[in-house]
Amino acid sequence: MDRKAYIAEQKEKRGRKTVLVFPIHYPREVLTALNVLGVEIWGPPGFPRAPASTHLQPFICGIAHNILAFIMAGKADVVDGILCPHTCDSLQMLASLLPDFKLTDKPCFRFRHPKGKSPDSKSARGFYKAELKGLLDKLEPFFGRPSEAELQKAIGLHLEADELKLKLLDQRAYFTTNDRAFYEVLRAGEYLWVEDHIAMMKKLLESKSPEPVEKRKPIMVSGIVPEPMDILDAINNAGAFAAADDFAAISRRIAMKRPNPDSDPLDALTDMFFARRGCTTLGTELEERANLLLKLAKSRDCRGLLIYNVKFCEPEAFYVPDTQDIFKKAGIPSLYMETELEAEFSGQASTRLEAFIEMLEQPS
Amino acid sequence: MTISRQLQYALIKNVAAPLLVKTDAWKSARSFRAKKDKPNPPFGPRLESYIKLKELMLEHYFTGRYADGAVPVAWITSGSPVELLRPFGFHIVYPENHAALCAVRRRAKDLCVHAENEGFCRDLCSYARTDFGSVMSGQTPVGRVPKPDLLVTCTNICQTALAWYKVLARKFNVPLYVFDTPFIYGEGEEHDVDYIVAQFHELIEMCEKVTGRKLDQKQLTYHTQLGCECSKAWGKVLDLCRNRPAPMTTFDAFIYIGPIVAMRGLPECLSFYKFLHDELQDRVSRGIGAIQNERYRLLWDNLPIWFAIRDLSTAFAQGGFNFVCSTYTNAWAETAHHFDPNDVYRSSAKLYSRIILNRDLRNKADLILKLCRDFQCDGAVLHSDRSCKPYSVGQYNLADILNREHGIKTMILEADHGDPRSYSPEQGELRVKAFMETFQ
Ligand code: SF4
Ligand code: SF4
Repeated sequence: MDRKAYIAEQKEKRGRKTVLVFPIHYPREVLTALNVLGVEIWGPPGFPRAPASTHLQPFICGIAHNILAFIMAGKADVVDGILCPHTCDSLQMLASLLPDFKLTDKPCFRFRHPKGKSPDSKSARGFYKAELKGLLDKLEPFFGRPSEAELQKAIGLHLEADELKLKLLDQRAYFTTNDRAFYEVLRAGEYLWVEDHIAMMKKLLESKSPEPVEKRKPIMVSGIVPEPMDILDAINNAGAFAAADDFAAISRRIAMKRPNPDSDPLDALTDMFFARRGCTTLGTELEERANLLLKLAKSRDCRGLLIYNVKFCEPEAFYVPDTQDIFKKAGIPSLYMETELEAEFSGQASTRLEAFIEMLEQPS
Repeated sequence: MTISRQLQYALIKNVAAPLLVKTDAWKSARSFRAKKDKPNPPFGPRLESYIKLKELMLEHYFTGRYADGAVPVAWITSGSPVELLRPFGFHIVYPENHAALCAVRRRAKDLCVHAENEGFCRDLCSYARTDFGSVMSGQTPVGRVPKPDLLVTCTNICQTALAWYKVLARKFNVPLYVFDTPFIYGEGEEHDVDYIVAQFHELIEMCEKVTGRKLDQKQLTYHTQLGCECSKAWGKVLDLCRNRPAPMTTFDAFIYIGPIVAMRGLPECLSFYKFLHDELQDRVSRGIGAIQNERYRLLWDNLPIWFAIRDLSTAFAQGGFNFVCSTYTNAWAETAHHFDPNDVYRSSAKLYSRIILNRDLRNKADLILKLCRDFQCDGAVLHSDRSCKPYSVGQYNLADILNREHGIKTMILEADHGDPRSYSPEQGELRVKAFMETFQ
């Protein structure tokens, strides 16, 4: 079932309203607790951009352009609101542009999170919790207010989903499926109701082989989002597979530690936010992040690192040279590629990728 | 800190720098006197304040060369709460200010290329690339930039500055404090202020750790108060351009902005702006304009195109167009009114978080309209700055509003504040000409 039909079905059969969500970090649990379907929009590639270009300069990334084009084409008319996490300079401004210049008549809920703060920063934790409260207040007139039990239940469901995601990622080499199909399951949570997503991931998990089956070269993939998803086919066709993931759309959003089960829900959500692996858009410490990635890459025997960045994405691009440097020193070669989020993965990009993968060592 | 470095620094600061500055000032004064009464078309007479500015900046950068190892050195972003660092005796370096200087002196391109060769993507802000290029190559037009003991970045200007300083922290292996000022939609929230106030205390703690000194509260009050007075004095300077003809162009103001960025909270900054104010006031009372024939008045939005200031100011002045205000120069004056000496922390939290770059586009539209009204602008030039996304997004719509709803003619000028490779002077000139023709 495609997204549109799924959203319509959710509305009809479950009475679920829909909120369109900008990337990247936001408390999905709050929407679930409100019985609201969150549908993330990562700038669907290939969308005609012309109408957005009269509002955004060409040096703003493809995700922002595509989001705006999508909304301006009326594709978001079915939603009941737009949630805009404070991800980067471009999305921060888009979150202002939309309502301030009346490019949408949907209510826009802005959600800010702390930047560049360590998990033990009291001030940052206090701010995050206050923002959660603020978000609940802003959503209330449109969707009501969730009870504590509803919030707890939603937290439990998303923790379960995150654990499944981690399990799948950890055991990627045990699946015969290709990367595209594997990532399609992981990414389905961008629009599926959490329980449906859990069911889908469980199903995939059941197909796990008893022994590792992947014979291709293991690599680590990093970036904002694997779009267009042809990139994954290109990796497979060139003789490698995504053995370790560091996409912001996927593993950077997983809480690596469970919160204390007795915590009040907002405290638990705060713990979960600060328990994420770290992300360029959160201003995570550079060396710490790169070392963490290195550890993960080594644990999966990765032969190379592919950084697949969205063109004009500054937060991500700043981290690249140091990350590559740290990997190089550890003997892991890397390749930096950019995507404009066009409909297709270019032939030239394929050739570069092939050349890179070709020179990587075969796993023993 | 070593005693020999401290002695050397004291000698430089108290003897060599003043001597150098005096000699330079004497030379400049002589050349100024020679040119003073000579025609300077299409501009009005030269300002003596420029000599003072040169003295101030020369001293700042010259003493800076010897600062590390003698006094604590902090590198900070332009929007950081510098007043908090003053009581600890830091020598302050503003990489943005330094990068702007590199651009004015046409050194930025090579530094950017150096950074790019080290893997930094060309789409990153050119201030950051210039800074990386300078750090990695050791090249600078100011002789030498002292190494930092502390880095402070503040998200009130952008999140670019956050990632930029993360890179610096690794390069220098020194502590970094991220001063996080949540972006303000509408009027902001009380918990934003709580968050910022808590961070003032964290930053003070970090300064105490780095310098081994305890905060002197009296000194803090003194410098915050002074910082606020500096901003107000700068605001008064800018306000003089409400007069017709305006005694200063915005292009001049881009140059005179140096002290309010780099020396806020210091007495020499305040006295400089008083001097500049008096000189401009004198021009106003004598009806002297910054350009000879002010026919139209314009607003500038976004950062200057540092490497093209001279060419652009001449082209506009020749057509009788004077830039009388800008959102950029205004940014260092616009929030000073929030300061309350009886509630230093909470009022400073507002002062630092409510600047144009940290607020939504509704606020920016209102501000531009107010400036256009107050300064009686006939048109506006919006510099769409490839490097600065937070400042540039929304300009297409703003231009439309100004044009259609308020009859203010606008032009979007695509360029970059620091990297000349992203600006075509020929095309720029054609666009400027075409824009000016619409006023005939
Ligand atoms: S790709 Fe980068 S710049 Fe674009 S929206 Fe995502 S985080 Fe922001
Ligand atoms: S020019 Fe813009 S992007 Fe660059 S540091 Fe300044 S505010 Fe940030």
